[in-house]
Amino acid sequence: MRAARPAPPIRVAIVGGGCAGITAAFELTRPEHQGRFAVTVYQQGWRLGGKGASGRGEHGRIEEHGLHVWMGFYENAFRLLREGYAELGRDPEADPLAGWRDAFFPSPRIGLTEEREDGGWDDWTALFPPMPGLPGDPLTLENPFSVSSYLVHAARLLATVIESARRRQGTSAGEGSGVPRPSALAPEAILENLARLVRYGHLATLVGLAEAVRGLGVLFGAWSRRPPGRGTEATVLRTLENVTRSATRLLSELARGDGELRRVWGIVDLLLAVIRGVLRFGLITDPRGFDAVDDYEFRDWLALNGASRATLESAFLRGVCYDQMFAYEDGDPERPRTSAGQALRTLLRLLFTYRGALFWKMRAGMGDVVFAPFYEVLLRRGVRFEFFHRLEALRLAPEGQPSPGERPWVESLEMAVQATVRSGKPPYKPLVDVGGLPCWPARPDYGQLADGQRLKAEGWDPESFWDRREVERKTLRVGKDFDFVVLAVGLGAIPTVAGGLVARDRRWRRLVDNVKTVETGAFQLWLQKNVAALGWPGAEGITLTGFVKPFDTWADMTHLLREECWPPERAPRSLAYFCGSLKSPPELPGRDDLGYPAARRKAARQEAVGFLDHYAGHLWPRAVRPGGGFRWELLVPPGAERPAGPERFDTQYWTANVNPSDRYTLSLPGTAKDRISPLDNTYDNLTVAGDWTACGFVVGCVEAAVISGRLAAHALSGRPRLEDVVGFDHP
Amino acid sequence: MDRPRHRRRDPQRTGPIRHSGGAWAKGEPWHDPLEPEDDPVSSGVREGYRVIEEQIRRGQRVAQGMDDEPRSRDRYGREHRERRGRRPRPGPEESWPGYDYDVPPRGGSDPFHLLSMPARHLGRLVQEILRQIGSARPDPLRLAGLLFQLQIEAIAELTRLGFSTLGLGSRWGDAFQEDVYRVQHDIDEGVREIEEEEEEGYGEWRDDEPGHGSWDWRGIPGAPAVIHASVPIPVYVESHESTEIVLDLPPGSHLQSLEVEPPLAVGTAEPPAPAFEAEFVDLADGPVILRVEVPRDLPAGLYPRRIVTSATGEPVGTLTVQVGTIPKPSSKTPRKVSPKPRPRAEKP
Ligand SMILES: Cc1cc2nc3c(=O)[nH]c(=O)nc-3n(C[C@H](O)[C@H](O)[C@H](O)COP(=O)(O)OP(=O)(O)OC[C@H]3O[C@@H](n4cnc5c(N)ncnc54)[C@H](O)[C@@H]3O)c2cc1C
Repeated sequence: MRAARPAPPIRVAIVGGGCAGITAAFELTRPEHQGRFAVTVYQQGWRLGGKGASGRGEHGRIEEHGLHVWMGFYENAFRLLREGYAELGRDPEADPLAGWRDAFFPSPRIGLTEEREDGGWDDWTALFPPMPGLPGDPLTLENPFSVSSYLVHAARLLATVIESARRRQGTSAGEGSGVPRPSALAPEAILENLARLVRYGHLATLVGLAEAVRGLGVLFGAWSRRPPGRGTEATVLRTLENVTRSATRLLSELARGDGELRRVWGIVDLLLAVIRGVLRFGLITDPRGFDAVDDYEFRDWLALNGASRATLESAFLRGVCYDQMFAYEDGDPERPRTSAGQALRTLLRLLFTYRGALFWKMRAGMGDVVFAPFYEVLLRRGVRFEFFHRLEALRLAPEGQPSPGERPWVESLEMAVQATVRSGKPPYKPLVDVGGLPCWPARPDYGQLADGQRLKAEGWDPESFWDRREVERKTLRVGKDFDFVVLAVGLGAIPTVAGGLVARDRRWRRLVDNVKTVETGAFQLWLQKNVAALGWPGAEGITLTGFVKPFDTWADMTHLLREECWPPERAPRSLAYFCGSLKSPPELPGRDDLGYPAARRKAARQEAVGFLDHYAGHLWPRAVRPGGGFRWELLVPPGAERPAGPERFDTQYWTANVNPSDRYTLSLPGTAKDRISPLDNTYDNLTVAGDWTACGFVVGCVEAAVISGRLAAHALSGRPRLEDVVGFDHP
Repeated sequence: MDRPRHRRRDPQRTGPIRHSGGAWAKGEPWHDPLEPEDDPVSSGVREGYRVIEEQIRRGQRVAQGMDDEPRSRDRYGREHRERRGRRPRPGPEESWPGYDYDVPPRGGSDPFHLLSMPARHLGRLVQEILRQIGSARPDPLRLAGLLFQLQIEAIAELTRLGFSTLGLGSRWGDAFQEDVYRVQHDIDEGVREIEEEEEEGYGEWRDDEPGHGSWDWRGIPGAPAVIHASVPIPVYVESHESTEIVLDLPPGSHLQSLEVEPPLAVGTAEPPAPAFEAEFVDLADGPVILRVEVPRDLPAGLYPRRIVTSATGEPVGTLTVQVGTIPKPSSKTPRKVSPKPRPRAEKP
């Protein structure tokens, strides 16, 4: 008897190898699927990573799209990362960065900088204590993502903050006054005191506030299973108003003239506004969750809920909710805009659900520690990678073709093949070895490519939207070359590659019209001195945000130098990353605007040079000359040439991320509804993945991209179960 | 090869569940597809969350206790006795999904009810606060709850007296301020001490072994209770030791009036064996609850009791209380916690 032939695998074409596409590939090729899906990843250019890509340049210099840190609440991203490393099975004895904990390390500090009235800048560092567990650990029965849980946490944090403010002011009259410890104090005395206390109502002072808030926490805790009725919320609100009034009066007076306390007060005020807003807007029970306030701009919403002007302008709010999220419409510093719903979700998740540390930094480029390991694992699982394949057009079956009741589908994918591998050499091997670590190079390996030397000489850039050189066209057809498509390109690429969809489907039109992206810029400096010698008074390894636009974020990434391979006599002492959103035209530039990328790159350079000349002195007082101006000689060039003055900057690395697909996805107010879900089944064989999708966590970040990739896999395979996509179900 | 087009099945849904609780409320435990269910680490972590859950429940109980304040423990019993013979009202049919030990909603249990309560029971409150402060293992959550309650009562009283609530301090001049500070300081110190103890456990950075640094038991305060109930009866536990409670009743049997049988006599001449207290209490405006109290001196061990119907004395089920602490793994070595069978606590 002949054995039944196994069903042929379902062919999935994943277009785009960023976080989202790679996640989808990883999910669809899990061994549990027993080879049900045959996955091919189509990627333009020579490397995976997209907005998170990095490459190795001269001396193994790590060159990145921008600063990338992972937050301690990236449950999905860390979970996959840990699985990926486990499967990779590197030898801890022999291989560098063998395990995920070698690749990532906790970074519990965030630095914020704030402009003083006299035009100077003040820095302060907030330390976020380690929290139990590690990101990606299994979660069990307790749901960390409930509004009640957030309220409990918020109340606890408030209590702690108020308490520390009180201690700082030395208002604990008992302190040092020889008051016996509670257990030693005669019960009668306490009783008497308490009775008096109660009689005269003196709990209504700062000392009582901490307890009041703590008590609120207990009560919020009681909501974790049983949402309160509206009446209850009103009562709590009233209590909260009272707490706030007292706190405001007392703390803001104390805080005047004391920078540290003022910042503490800013956080208290912010949290109180958040709690009040959550209660006032009924977000605990609203079936839309925080999306119910998606139409509000976050700061407007906070103001509505009583946040003070100082809080709205505080470095904490600006740094954490705007600068880190590039949340400036068209990159315009005058237009900070982000959706209240999404910012609230992010802020609460960030502050109250992180595990281990608030931030996790990488020991090498994100390409090296994330995309190279996944590339290797996926290759072993049989995933095919087609580099140098750029999607030109996704074509639907002609309108009217689906018979009644049938859904429209993708008929073909038109690919531009940007380069081919020299005969006898395929497939293209994309990784290079840097000190034993498989890494992506900063440029294609021309040696493997047909006509490689010519391409190199011509300055070919296959990642550029404007570089249209190609060697051939390929049309992939449904049923022949693929069955399903996962469209995982960046949002900015959609109008170009899926123009047909956009023209035909109003929802796709709304997506590209309303969900905006912004250009970003970044530069990296290799310096002759360490940060202390440059005059930075704080800790090494700081990530500081809230600074001057456009490069409002600085991170000391000196730890990366260990992974680079400089000749010892020329080794830099520190490595600084700067990053921010660039002021950019509201309309995406056309494909025929060939001069655009070079012009933007030039502008970014100018901004960077000006920034260093004018503002670097604040961070690094010893990096500027007595009369002002940056000491360019501090920069370490990789080559023998050592230009003087600002020209030395050209030996460093900088980028203007202007390719449409590389633009950062914003969460502008009122646009969450315009996104399209990876679970949407309008097109029979198409799903989407990317940080721009309606993936539940509507924020441009690695976690959103990973969630979207998992959802796309679910859409095709039913796995992972939606309940297992951590935090997808979230208020 | 050309093939017929593949079609996707409709997804079960296309968006997240955003209302409070989300899919979690459906009660499916979070299951890691790659982690075997019985893996000691994950079940240890799961246990950890149960413990936290219990802490929240305790907070809830504090809040509820505030509401039930007029009913002292004695009165609980008395009311219960008075109601015997009456058929207890059924609890809500649906148990709290995924949390079979959870407290279902009941009318009048709204903790915020308190906010409009007139001032009362101050003496008892203060005494309870003192008792907590003075006890060997004060429960910070309970203490905070009591303090809050105290505050509420003060506010209520002031409101009654015609003053606006908070923000009043200055009107009373500084004469009392010192007392306020001093007393509050004493209490704060106590709370802080307790919290610092806890935080030492939490705060320790565990950099040792990837994947295993997931939970530090030492950070978890109080005496956790894990409750498995086969019927939707809320179980209230008071214990200084961690407990695991199994209430095994056939479906529907909780709709009749039930009693927990006293421990079976071992021999007539023997003094009565130490035992936990347990009774079904029919709350005035809510469901029947099972109250379990474990006395301090009850040695670690397994205590089974029979449950009988009040009307006929016929046995219908069992209540088993296991007294003992959850093991504390060392933070240095990878944790191996096997919840089954639960190791017994050594009694000091
Ligand atoms: C400067 C900067 C800093 C950031 N910092 C952080 C951070 O610190 N933490 C954080 O969590 N997030 C950060 N983000 C956001 C994060 O990088 C993104 O959210 C995430 O990488 C998006 O992944 P994705 O897969 O959705 O899209 P992408 O990474 O954009 O991937 C899309 C892929 O599609 C490919 N592609 C595009 N067009 C085509 C085509 N026509 N044919 C074939 N392939 C195509 C692209 O080359 C790319 O590989 C930052 C983003 C930027 C720009």
